[in-house]
Amino acid sequence: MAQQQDSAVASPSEPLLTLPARRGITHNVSRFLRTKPLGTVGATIATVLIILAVYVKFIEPTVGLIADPYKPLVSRINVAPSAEAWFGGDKIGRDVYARLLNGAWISLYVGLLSSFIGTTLGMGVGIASAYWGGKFDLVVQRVIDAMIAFPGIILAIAIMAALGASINNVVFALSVSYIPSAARIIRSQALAVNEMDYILAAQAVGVGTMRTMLKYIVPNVFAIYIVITTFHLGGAIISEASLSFLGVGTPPNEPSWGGMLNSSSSQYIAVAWWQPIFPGAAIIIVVFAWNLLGDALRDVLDPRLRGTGARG
Amino acid sequence: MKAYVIKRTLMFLPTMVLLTVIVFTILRIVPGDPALLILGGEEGEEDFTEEELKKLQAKLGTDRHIAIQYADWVISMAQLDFGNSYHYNNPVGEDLAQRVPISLQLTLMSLIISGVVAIPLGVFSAIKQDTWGDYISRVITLIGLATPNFYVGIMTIFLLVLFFGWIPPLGYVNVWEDPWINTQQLIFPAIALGTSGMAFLARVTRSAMLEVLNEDYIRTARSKGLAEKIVIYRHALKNAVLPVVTIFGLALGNAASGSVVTEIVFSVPGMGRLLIEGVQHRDYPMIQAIIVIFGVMVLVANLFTDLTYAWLNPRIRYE
Repeated sequence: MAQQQDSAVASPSEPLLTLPARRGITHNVSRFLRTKPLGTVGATIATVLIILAVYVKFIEPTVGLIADPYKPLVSRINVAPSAEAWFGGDKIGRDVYARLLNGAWISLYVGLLSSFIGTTLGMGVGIASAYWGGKFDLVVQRVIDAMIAFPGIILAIAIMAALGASINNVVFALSVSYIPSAARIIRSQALAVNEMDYILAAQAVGVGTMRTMLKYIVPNVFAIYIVITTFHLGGAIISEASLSFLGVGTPPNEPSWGGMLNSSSSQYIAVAWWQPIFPGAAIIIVVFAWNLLGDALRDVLDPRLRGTGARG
Repeated sequence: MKAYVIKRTLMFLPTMVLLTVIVFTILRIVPGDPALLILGGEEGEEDFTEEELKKLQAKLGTDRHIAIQYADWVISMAQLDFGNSYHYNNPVGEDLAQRVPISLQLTLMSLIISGVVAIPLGVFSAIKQDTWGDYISRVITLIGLATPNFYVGIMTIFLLVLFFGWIPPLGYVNVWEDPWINTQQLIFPAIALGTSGMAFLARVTRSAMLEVLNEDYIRTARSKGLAEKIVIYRHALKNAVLPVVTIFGLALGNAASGSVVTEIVFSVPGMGRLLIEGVQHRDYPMIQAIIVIFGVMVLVANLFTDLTYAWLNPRIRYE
C-alpha cells in the first residue's frame, strides 16, 4: 500500500505528503480481533457453528460418522449417555447427539435466512418510506405501528396457524415479523441521509430513484443493517426454538433444538436430564455468541447506537 | 398537555383498525375458506358433498363477501362478541373471560419481578462501571438474553423436583379464593418469565444510568459536595428512570408473548394455552380474538407509556 502511494505523489526521493492509507479488510479484521476480545469469542463460536451445520447437512451423509437422527431404536429409548449414544437417547429411541448436531443446520438455516430476508425487506420499506415521505410515509408508518403491536412471536404464531408447520413457513413467519422493527430503525437513519448534499447532487444530475436509493442511501445505512441482522439472527434462533417447542414450528420429526425440548420431553426431565440439557445449552451458547458478535459489531460499525439499548 | 393527549389518543384508533385488518388478512385470506378446511381436513383428503359445504359456509358466514365478513367481525368484536369457537362450539368470549385474567396476572407478576431485580442491578452495574461486579452482572444479563424463557421454565421445574421433590400445584385457583395456592401456582412461572425480561430491563437501565452520570449536572452536584448517595438517588436515578419508562410497552409485550410459552411449560390454563390449542384445532375465531387481544394490550400499554412520558417530560408535549 505505502509504496503505491509513494508513486502516486510522483516524487523521486521523498513523498510531499502522506495520505492516510485506505486499510484493507485484513487490517480491519485484525484490529477487530485485537480490540474486541468478546466479539472475537462470539465470532469464533459462530464460525464453528457454520462449519458444523454445513458439515452435517452436506458432508456427513456421505461419511456417516454420526448416527441417523431420524431412526428410532427400541434399545435406545431413554437410555443415559454412554459410549454408543454420547448424549443418550430420547423418548422414542433416537440418538440425542445426532439430533443435536443436525439441529445446528436447522437453527442456522432459519436464523440466517429469516434475519436476512426480514431485515432486507425492512431496509427496503424504511428507505422508500424516508425517501418519498409525505402521505406514503404516513401510511407505511401506521401499518408498521400496527405490526409492531403484535408482541414477540405472536405475529409468527398467527402466520404459522394460517400456513401450517414446516421449516420454510417458520422462515417466512419470522421474516415478516422482523420487517417492522428493521424498517423503523433504518427509516430514521435514512431520513438523516436524505438531508445530505450528495443526495441533492445526485437528484440534480438526474440520477433515477432506484439508483439513488441503491447507490447512495443503502451504503450509508449499511452499517446499521449489519448490526440489526446480527441481533435478529440470535432472536430468530430463540424464536424458532420457541415455535417448535410449542409444536407450531418445525415439524416434530425434524431434529430442531426447540422441538427436542418440547413439552413432552420436559415431563421426562427428572428421569432423563440429558434430553433437555443438551439442546438447551446449545441454544444458549449459540445465541450468546451471536449477541456478543452483534454487540462488538455495533461498537465498531455504529458507535452512535451505543448506550441506546437498541437491539434491533 | 391537553392537545398532546387528544392527538396521541386519536392516533390510537387508526392503528387499532389496521391491526384488525392485518389479523383478518393473515387468518382468513391466507389459508382460504375455513369451511373447506373443516370438511376436507388438512390435506383435503376427506370427501364431502357440495350441499354440506354450502350449509357449513352459511353457518360460519363464509359465503358472504370477504369485506362484509370483516365488517361483521369487527362490529361484533366492538360489542365484545368474539363469535363462536369452531372447536368447542361455544362463544369465544366466555372462554376468554376466564383465561385473560390468568394471563394478565402472570404477565404483571413477572413484570414486577423483572423490575425489582433489574433496576437495582442496572444501577449497580452503571455505578461500578468496568469493575468485576459490572462484568459479572453484564455476563448474567447477556446469558439471560440468550436463554429462551421456556428453557428457564423447564430448568425451574427441574431444580424444584431435584432439590425439593416438589412441583407447583397444577391448574389454577383464583387469587380471591385462595391467595396462598394461587401464589404457589403462579410464582414460579412468573419468576421464569421475569428472568428473560429482567436481562433486557437491566441493560436499558445500565445504559440510561451511564448516560445520565456523564451529564454536567451530576458533576455540579458532586463538586458542590453532595454525598454520593444523594447524587445517585436524587439526581441520577430520577433522570435515568425516564428512558426506562419508555420501554414499558415493549417490556409488557415481551412478557405477554413469553407468557404463551411459560403457560405451556407450567400447565397454567391462561390465554396462551388457549391460543396454542386453537392453532392445533385450526379454530380461527379463537386465534383471531386472542391475537387481537395481545395487540390491543400492547397498543394500550404504548398509549399509557407515551402519556406518562409526556407528563414526566415537558419537552415531548410541546413539540
